[in-house]
Amino acid sequence: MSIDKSLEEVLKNKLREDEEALSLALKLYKAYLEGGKKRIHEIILKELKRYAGDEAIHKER
Amino acid sequence: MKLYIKSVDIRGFRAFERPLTLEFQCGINLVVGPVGSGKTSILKAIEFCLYGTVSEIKRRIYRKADIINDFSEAAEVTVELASSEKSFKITRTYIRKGFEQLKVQVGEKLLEGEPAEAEVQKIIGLTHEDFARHVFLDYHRLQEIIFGSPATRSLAIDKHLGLYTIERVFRSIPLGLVKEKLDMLAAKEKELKEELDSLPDREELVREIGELEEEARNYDRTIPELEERIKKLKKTLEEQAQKKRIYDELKTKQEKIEAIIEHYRRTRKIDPKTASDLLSALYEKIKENICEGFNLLYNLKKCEELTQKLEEKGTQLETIKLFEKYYEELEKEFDRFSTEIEELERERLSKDIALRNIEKEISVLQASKLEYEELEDELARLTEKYGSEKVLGEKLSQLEREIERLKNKMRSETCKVLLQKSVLEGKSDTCPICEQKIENIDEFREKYRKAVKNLSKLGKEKLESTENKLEEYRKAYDRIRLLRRRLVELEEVVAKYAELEATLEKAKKELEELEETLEDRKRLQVKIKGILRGARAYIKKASSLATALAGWKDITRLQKELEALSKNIDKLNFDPAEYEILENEVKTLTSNLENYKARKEEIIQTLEDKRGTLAEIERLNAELAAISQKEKEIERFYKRLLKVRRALREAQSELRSRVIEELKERINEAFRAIYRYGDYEELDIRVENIRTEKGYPRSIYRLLAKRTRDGQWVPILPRLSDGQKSLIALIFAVAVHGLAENKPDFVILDEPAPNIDEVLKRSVAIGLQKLGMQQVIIATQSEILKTENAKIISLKQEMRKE
Repeated sequence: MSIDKSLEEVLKNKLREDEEALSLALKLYKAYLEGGKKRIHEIILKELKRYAGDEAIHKER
Repeated sequence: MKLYIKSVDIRGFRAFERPLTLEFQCGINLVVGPVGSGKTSILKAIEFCLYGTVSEIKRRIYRKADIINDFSEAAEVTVELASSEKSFKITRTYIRKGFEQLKVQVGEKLLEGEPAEAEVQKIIGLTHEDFARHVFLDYHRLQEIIFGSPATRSLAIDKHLGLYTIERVFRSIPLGLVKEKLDMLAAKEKELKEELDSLPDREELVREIGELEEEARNYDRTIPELEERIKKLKKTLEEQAQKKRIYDELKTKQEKIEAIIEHYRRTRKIDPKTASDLLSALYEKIKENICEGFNLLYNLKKCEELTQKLEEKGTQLETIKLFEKYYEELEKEFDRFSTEIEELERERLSKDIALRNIEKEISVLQASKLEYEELEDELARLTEKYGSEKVLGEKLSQLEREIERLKNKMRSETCKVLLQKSVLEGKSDTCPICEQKIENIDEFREKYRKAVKNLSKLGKEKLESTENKLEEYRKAYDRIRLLRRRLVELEEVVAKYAELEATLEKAKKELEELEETLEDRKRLQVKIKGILRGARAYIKKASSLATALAGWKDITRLQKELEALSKNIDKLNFDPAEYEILENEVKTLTSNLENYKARKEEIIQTLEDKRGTLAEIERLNAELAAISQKEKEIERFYKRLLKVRRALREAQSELRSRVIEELKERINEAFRAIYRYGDYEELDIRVENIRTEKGYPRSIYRLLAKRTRDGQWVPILPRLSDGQKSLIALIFAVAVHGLAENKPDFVILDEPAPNIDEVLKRSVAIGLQKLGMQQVIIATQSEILKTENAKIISLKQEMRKE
């Protein structure tokens, strides 16, 4: 069995009512496979920037 | 399509400086060689060719550049994969400068770069991670499954099953970072709220602004109305001001006339007739005074002139003016007279000074005069005693001659004595004087003694007396000469003294005369001064009286003029009180207007400030709303992340259950094929969920086995030797290999169970074949692991071949 496919399937089932959360979960999983923890942080920071604006990100950096 | 590795060609990869080509078969392939012969490098070369990396590079045990042989410039590995239908030739080159190239030959087609990578991925069907877990069964990774604490073993199993990645994902979610952002926004929100609290209440401020605006509008209406009213009042005031000027002028004139009339009324006490007589008497007195003044100043013509002019009848005032004119002239003459007195005074002073100077000079010359008189007396006495200078000179000559004669006589007498002496001393017996022979020496000696005595008497007494006389005469002669010279010198001084005495006498006389004249003049000056004072007083009195008499005639005219002025004032129709009221009203209204304008300015300024504060409140509210919005968004995001984390954790748990369920059957299948001891007949893997000391949830795997002897399920690992444990790990890895979908049909084992005996190793190989694996490549040190149909690749032999 493929863990990736199975995980997607399980997550779809668990987060079927929250598409955004599902999308985020899959995005984070894929990001980890591509670039590890660093990539996940990049995504989170990008999201924060989207919500809190540049100020928050600059302060973080 | 069942793929297997047909051959591997290695150039410059790790230990292989020289090219090495190996051929593999379907079934068991044993790569045999001693330690350091390059068994693992061959297996790693296959991994590198397929994925461009090896697990050691990923785990940073060594760098990618380290895969190139120390004496080569590039590493190149070619793996040929084949199936019954077709073959693929994959060649990967990596040169020292960092350049990497992948070529895939599929039949006639040659792929490079990205398409080649995609093709390899498609052929193998597994990611590198999956390949490492399912195909390349590394000894070290297998060891982690069976050795160590339950926690580390469980972690290794999770990694092997691919479940640890999920854990890594949810553990990598930086919730703290998001929370920190939320805290930061909350702090900012608090700061803004505090700032807002420090500002006035918005509603109150809006109300105040409204009130101020209303007040400003009121002023906008009131101020122009007031300005218009003031303008009108000012116009009226201006008209009234013109009238006021005329009124003031008339009033001043009226007051003046009234004052004059009043003055006349006061002076009306004097009767014009009496005043006229008094005036005539005054005129007489003035005339007398002025005439006396002029007469005293020796100007008799002026008096006659005044008398003559007075006879020519003029007005009273003209007569006064005439008197004033002559009075002024008299005054001028008096001034001139006074100046003359001053000049005389100065002259007297200078004469007095000159007199004193002469007296001083005389006193100085008086000593010389006395000296002259004394010297004259002395000269008279000397002349009387010694005779005149000439006589005395002659006497002196005589005495000088006498002295000379006496001296000569003394010399001849001395010679004689000396001759006599020589005779007496026996030098001769003849008298040196008479030249006669000396018969009686005693007599001669007596003569000698007498001669000596005479010489002494003559020489000393007479000569000395004559010389003394000469000395006395010479002194007298010198004194007379000196006196004569001094007397000649003093003669001039004596003459000057006499002259000064005469001058002094004259000056004293002149001074006395001058002082007398000055005294007379001064007395006259005092008298004239009195006359002038009197005349002045009479003129003043007469002038006043004449003016009063002259003005008396104008009174009627002035009264008429006053009446006309009163009529004009009435006609003007001007009320000063009303004018003052009007003026005060204008002032009050102007002041009110200024106050209104100032208040309006103040309101405008206050409004500006308050609007600024309101804008600041609005801005802060907007900022607060924005921050609140952001906070909500991030909170939602935070909750979503929590949800994702929980979902991933649950998913990991669910997948673990599924995998374990599927794995159980495969483990037992592998167990039955490989494990040959017979003490345990079945394996089971169970998951136990616990919490760590820190409270984190943790899943622990328990490996259980059913004991053959009593059929009990017991934990197996504590009961097995290390060799048996290695077998269990291999069994687990093989089972996991069976789980993979789309996996290639070959498995690579790098020293899978190093600590088992040779018989068991052979049984493992057989077991793996039984499990239906198309190709198994095992790297091992000994050749004893020989099975039927197994291809033995001895590295020493192969290298020798090369």
